[in-house]
Amino acid sequence: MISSGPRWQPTPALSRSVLLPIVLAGVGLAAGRVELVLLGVPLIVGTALALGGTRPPDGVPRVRAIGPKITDVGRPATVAVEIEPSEAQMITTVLVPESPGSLAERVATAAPAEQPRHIVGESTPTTWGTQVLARPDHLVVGADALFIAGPVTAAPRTAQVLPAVTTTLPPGPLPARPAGMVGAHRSQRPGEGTELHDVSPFAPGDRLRRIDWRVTARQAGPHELLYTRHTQVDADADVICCLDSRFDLQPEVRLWSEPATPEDSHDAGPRSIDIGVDTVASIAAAYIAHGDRVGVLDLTRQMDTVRLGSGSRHLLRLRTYLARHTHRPGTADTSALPRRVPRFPPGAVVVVASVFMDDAVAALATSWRRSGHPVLAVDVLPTPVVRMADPAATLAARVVIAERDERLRSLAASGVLVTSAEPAALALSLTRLRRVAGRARR
Amino acid sequence: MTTESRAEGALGPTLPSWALRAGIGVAGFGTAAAACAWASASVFVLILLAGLAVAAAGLPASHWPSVLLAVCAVVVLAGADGITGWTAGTMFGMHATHVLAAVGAVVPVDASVERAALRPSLERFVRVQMGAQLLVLFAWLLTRG
Repeated sequence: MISSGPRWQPTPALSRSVLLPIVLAGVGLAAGRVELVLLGVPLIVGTALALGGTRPPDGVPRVRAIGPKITDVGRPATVAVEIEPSEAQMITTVLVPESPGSLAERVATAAPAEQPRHIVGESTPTTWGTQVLARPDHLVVGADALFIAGPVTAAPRTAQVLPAVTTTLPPGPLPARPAGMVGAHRSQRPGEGTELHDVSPFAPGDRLRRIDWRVTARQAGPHELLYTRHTQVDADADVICCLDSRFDLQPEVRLWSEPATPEDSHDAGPRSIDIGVDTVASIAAAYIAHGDRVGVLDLTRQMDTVRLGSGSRHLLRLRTYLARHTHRPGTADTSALPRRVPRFPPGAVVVVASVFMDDAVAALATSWRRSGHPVLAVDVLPTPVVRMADPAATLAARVVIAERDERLRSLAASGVLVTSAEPAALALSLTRLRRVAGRARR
Repeated sequence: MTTESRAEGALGPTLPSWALRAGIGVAGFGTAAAACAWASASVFVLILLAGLAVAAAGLPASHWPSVLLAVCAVVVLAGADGITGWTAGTMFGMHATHVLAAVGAVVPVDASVERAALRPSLERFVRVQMGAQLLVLFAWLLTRG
């Protein structure tokens, strides 16, 4: 298909190749100097051959990028620059960058005459969100570059880059109260399950198929008692992952007031919002892989949540939600946390991913803990680096960091399990959360 | 993705943009040298034309290539006498400078150019030059005869 957007325009080469031979011929004939006429012959003949007797080619070919609509952070996405067939000689175009936002190579390529041409490249997103994989801005060049069309700003090829499941975490903890009568976790409630609870004498209500004949044979004496095996209920866990997206901080403290751009992520390491999103995605993947139900709540968008669900499609839904709806706050963002503590299903495990720079989020976590939820507070702030010229600013930064540390200690004292987002620490904390959950049941 | 389809989607051999610009410079200086030799022009004129060749190589999208070719023609008009072997050289150089400058004008400095994209221009250049050189030979024979 030929687009009607850009139009062919003559270049200085065309005027040179037409006017110079005419002038040379005129002067040569006037002065009786045939050699001047000869000098202009190749230019005018070459131009006539290039144009083929017509003015510019019929239409301008369309150049566009094609690629996936959804991809993952760190996974190379195959993207192609497609050039439609035309009468053009070459297309100077921007190719696919190595990663979204980085500088892409520019190449003058041969334009196809009959079949569309694809120049395939790979783009590896380094951060989540809606990312431009390629934007093949181009200039269409006619024969011998006598006519050009453009430069044309091409439509960007965007993709939803889903946050990566960066770490393999152990199965989550036992819910304080099982969410159902089936599931993968071993609860401590007696009932139908797989884990042995005890072996006791047969009592009214026990099922006959639960009689343990071996124990009965060993224990049966003069009283001739039957013994039955009692098991614990297997149950699902409900997990609510809460993301505090009010802050987006990088390791350098002096840059905390700078506006965030996605490109910064691969310049100065991951920012807190990136760590938070990756952590939520990883924890959700770990629980969902275990058959549990997981929901996501952005604490600044209480009305827009992902409800509890399970399965691989639900995990995809969660990651798409995180990529599409989590916004990078600017320096003037004043999003507030909910005034009322959101209510979750009884016994649900609550994971709070935040930088804990103020008391509001700590108060929420404490409230959930007091309500009986096992709460895991994940500190997603990258290790702060205080390097400032102003001593007063340095002191202020240290005070802020000290207050934050004190806030985290208070959280831990109130029964909230506090951990960093570092994968090994996170895995260990999930294991420890099992014990917290156990205490919550008692 | 098969190996074949990957090869189809790949870019062919390329030339860096500076190679194209160096070609403009070389062709421009060669044209200037041929014109000066043909017209027995002074070294000053050759230096002036060399400067124009450098300008044409640096800014092929401008009118400097046109100025270079026009000044070469003026030098020929002023000093050349009849058709000689330098006529063929000057004509070859003017055509080469024109074509290279035209193509170089659409290739950004930091870009590269696929060799296959230059092939149509090269083929036209060869065809035109074959005819043009025969024409010069024919004209030379006529003027001699």
